[in-house]
Amino acid sequence: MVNEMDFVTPEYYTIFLPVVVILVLFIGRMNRDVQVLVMLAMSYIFFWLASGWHVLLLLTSTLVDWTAGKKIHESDEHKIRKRWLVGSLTINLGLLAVFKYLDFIIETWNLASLKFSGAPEIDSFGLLLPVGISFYTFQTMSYTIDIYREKHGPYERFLDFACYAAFFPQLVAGPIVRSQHFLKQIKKPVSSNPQRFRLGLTLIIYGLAKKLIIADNVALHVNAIFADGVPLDNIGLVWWGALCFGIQIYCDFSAYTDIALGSGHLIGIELPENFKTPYAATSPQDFWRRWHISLSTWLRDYLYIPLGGSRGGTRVLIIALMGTMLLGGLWHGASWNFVLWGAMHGVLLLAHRFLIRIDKVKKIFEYAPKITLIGSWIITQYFVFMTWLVFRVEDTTMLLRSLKSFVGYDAHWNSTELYNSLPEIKLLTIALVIIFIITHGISGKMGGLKHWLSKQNSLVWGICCGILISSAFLLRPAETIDFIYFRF
Amino acid sequence: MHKKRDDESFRDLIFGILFAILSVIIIVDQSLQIIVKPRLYDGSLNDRGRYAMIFDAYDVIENDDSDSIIFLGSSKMREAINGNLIEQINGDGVNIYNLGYAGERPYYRMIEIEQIIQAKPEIVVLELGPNSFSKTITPLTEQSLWKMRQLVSLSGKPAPQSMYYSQLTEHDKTLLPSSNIEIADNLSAHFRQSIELTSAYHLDYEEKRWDCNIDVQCAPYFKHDDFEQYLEYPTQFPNWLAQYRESNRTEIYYDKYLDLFYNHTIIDGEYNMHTVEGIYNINHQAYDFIIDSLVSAGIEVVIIALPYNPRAQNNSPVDHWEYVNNSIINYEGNEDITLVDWYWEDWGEESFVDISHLSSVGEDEVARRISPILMEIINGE
Repeated sequence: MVNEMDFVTPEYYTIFLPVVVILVLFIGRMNRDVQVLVMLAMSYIFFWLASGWHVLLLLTSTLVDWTAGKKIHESDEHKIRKRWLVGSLTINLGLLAVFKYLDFIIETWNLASLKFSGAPEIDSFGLLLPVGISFYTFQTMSYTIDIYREKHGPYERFLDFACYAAFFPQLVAGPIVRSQHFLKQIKKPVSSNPQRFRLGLTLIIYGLAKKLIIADNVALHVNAIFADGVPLDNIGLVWWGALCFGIQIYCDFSAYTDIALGSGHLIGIELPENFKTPYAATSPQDFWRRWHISLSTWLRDYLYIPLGGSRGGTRVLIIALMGTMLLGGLWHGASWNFVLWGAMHGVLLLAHRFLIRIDKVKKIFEYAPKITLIGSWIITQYFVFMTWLVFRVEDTTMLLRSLKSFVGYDAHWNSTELYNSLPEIKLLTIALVIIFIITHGISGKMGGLKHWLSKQNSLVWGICCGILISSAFLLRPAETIDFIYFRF
Repeated sequence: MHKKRDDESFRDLIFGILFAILSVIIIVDQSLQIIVKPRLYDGSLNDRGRYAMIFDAYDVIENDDSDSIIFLGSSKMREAINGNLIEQINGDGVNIYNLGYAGERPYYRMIEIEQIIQAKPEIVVLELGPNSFSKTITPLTEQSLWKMRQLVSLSGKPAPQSMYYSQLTEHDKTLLPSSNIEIADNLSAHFRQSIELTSAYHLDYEEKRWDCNIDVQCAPYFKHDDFEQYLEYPTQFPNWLAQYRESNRTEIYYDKYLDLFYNHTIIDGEYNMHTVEGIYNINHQAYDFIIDSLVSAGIEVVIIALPYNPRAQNNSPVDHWEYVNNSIINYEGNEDITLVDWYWEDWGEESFVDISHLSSVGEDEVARRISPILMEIINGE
């Protein structure tokens, strides 16, 4: 039963989504209770098809936070409120720790004991990572924390809360939605209209095109480059690999978000944007305002600011920022690569903060703003793509070799070797990378190509959507690659 | 006011969706025609491009007002029939189409049956040879399956809606395209590679694999001026035997290839196509299905058993061709068809370019001997 449903399975578009739309907008029309019940039931069916028995973990998380939220709200005693909060966080983070990090901890322990003490090895549990656990855990945790902070009260009805926690478009890979954002939309019957429906369709088509045309094609180059036996001392090869992976991960993840947002719009639910052309960012801070926005704002609100943020002096800032980024990196997965990735971004953010405080730097920006902005963009993106190497290349030796080549240390340039190391579809992939760069730039300037497209007249819209659907159909590789963020 | 605006938006949405569907149909269809099909023709996507032109050939034949005679068979047939020569002998009013392709099996060929009937030829000449009854592996090998899927897709008709469907094994029925979407999906699977190769050829970035004037693997595209001429007389093998003969290495040739021809039952994991099975297998059943369908449609059927290089026949293992012999005897008794049996005739080594394929000398002989038989049928004598 597992993995029978996601946003690239045809059944999602031919059966699941049409059924949801019909049930919510037509059968349950004007009756919000029926609509919520339908959305909840369909969300659990979706999750059951995607993840099997792990649906019980979602149910546990939902029950825990529903109860904790109620109890915290009902109690006036700080101690009791805190106890419920700690209890909720412990269970949520405990589930996350067991299913996501336990094997990683055991492996790290084994490695350390092998090196230092020679203690016997502990067997790992080989637990399968429940799909979407990082996303819905953070989502439900934010609900309980907000009630504890008295930002808002609890949901009045359990079904509403369960629907918020399990809402199928964002359940598996976000965006991480805040409870009030969702609640205000289901307080009255949800409805769509032709413009909104068209926006929904546009987002779904745009997302599918990004995933199937660009992400899955460049992934073949990425997989070929970061494989055993490839000469990673070739600068061109590593640069091309990093560029392709940066494009792959963005197109893959943002495609999922687009489809999630589009699916939501079809039934009248608006989910928050998760990306704003991140590769147009001109500073590390700017990058995090554009990349995985729902996670970065979550980390800001529930980790960075509670840790002291930028208001407690340099030391506190360093601790808060590095702590947030390290944990943000670890959120992605149980691997030292992600920790290092987070650490590198933390260092970049700190370096940027300190750099812009220097008077000389400020003066340069004032003297030649356009040129410095271009320079900032180049430097920012250089480091962003460098960090993608850490994210992608798991093998330590291979990673070190790649990083050396990326900075031009102990590396060489050989175009023939570069050409021969790439898989057979070369020209098409190069063309797709160029198309991506151009459209990403245009999209940044226009505030989102998909939004522009959804507002065009029916002829232009129809033809553009036709081109995107046809291209996705024709250019998709034989095997669709799983969404990267399913692993997180 | 709101209601009116919503109605207009709803109308716009419906029109938009219709435009999108229309665009998809046009773009996908044209992309497959312009990008994928030429690469199937020239063999870039496989090692034998010639079968890809079959259905376009039937369109040409259908539009031909003259008496059409179609030759179907394997590479032996392709190498045996020079349509120009036969047309010269028979005079105006008769057009010959040589549609033999390497590796042909009746089990694949039956996919074309509706298009053959629709083309309304006067005569269909079928090769009776080792391929007709040779072992067909069930389930099909990946290579055979690939070819059958392509043929069904190029025919443009889903397998379950076609005449031949009942002849397929239950296993193969599940593997062939069963809807128009599956047909488009099947051809679109080659789009990436096709566009890559097309771009590479245009940019001179990569050398073309085949040359249609030299290599039998390649067929000129159906829009090409040479296409109709190609249908009459396709590109032929070079005369390998003559090359060996010129350098006094004839015996070396036979030592090497006779052994390969008869003794190797499995080559590269595939059954040697000349290993006859000796039972009424799916190939033989398909062969009879083709004959029955053509006869029922009022089309004259000629069966032709082409000769082999005498050195091959003289060295064949005892009883190797016994099943073919039995089949020939069986078809002799069929009054609906005309049987031409040259299987065991000795046409001399000069008539062959190798063990089994005829040379230009052999082609002349075929043209001279088949022409009166064909004219007799056409004239209703």
